[in-house]
Amino acid sequence: MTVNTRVLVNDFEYTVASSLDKALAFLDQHGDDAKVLAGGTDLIIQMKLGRWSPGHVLDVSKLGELKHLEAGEKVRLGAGRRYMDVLPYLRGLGRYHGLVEAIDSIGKLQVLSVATIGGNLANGSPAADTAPPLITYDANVHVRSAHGERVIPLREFHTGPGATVLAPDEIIVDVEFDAFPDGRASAFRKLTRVASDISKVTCAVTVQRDGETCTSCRIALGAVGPTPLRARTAEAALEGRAIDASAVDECARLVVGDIAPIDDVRCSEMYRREAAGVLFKDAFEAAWERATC
Amino acid sequence: MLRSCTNAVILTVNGDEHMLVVEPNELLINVLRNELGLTGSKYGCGTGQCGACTVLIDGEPALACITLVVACDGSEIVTIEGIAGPDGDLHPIQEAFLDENAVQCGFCTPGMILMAGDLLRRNPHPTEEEIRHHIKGNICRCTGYNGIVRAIQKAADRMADRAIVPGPAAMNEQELVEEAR
Repeated sequence: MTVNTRVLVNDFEYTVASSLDKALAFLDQHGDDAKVLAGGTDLIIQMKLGRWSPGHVLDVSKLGELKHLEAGEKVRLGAGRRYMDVLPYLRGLGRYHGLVEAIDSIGKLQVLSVATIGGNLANGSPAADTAPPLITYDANVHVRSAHGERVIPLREFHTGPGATVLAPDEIIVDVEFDAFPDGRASAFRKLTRVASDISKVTCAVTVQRDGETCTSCRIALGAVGPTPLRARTAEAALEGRAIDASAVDECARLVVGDIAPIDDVRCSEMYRREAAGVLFKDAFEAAWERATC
Repeated sequence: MLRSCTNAVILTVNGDEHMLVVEPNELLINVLRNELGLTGSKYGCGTGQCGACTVLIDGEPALACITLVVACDGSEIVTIEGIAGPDGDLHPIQEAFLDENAVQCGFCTPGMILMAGDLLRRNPHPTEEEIRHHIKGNICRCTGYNGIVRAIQKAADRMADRAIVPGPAAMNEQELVEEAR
């Protein structure tokens, strides 16, 4: 069937949430037949393409309870904050280069000005740009429903293409991670066909550096499996290791073995494997360099 | 909680207030073009990729083809028709696009000019790299972009020469940077 993207054929009731509690009560009642609208840059497209046909759309974009930005022992980013707000905030913090690079790589300002950090995670895309750096930060996702709240490690949040552990009655409140100690730094690299395109492969690296030794390392990649995923074999090989060119090369080969890419419209499996190793090396070297500062 | 099946919405478009009754699934691009007759905003890809439908909503660039009208209630919207002066004088960015032949088929032009205006509001003296970064979300299949980039540079120079203040950027990025510190 040809999709007419001029119109949205899906009929639904539109509701503006006036408080988080009311939003949660609404989802308690209608969650199975509702989708949450934040920036809408993914949801409206998915609805046009017929992937979602909710009977209710709940607009949470005005909720102040989802807009906090805090940096103390932990950094908390309110799920309803737009990228355009998060980006200068993170730049001001100065340490979280990987996440800054991931958001900046989205490029398209018309999207950055409305899309939110929570929306990027909730839509469950394996290519979500913010997921790999946040996974390397060991970030947690705070979600709430009318019946309580839970904290989900982001690495366990995605369950498949477009699927997450988020229940229909739950909303992401924020994403949170430990502030970086000295010697920790991150980087993000992405491969696309043209600027502002959806990723072919992304890679984020966070390292903890002590002199020339990598005391710990997190590596996460996007668009190379059904979910954003960690390259655990490569992480383990780097831990406690003195870093030189051969160590990085060896780990790049392990990264290629840790991922599960497929052929699709954007590129082939083989290309993704080749590219993932190269992106890892670039990201690792950038993070490693930054960790000296 | 506000809930209804058809929604009354007030939009201020290029300074004119409109009260509209719309279905929840009505898209901003279709209301602008079909209800208000403002056909400058183009329907391109329909999936938020090409930037031809770019408008400013409360001063921020957004894509009208993936924006629900109901979500714009109370908003101020600027389309390409709202860029020229009240007596029809072209905006310096429009003049520069003509001078630099930055228009071929014209389909991307409204979005490009709105993004150029958005850039110059935030950054009156952009480098070439900054210009190219700002129009990343706008696809042009004719010009190869060079004429567009030259036109935006020329517009920036002329606006500086004529001491035209592009207006405050809607977002206070500096405030968020300070808050983080």
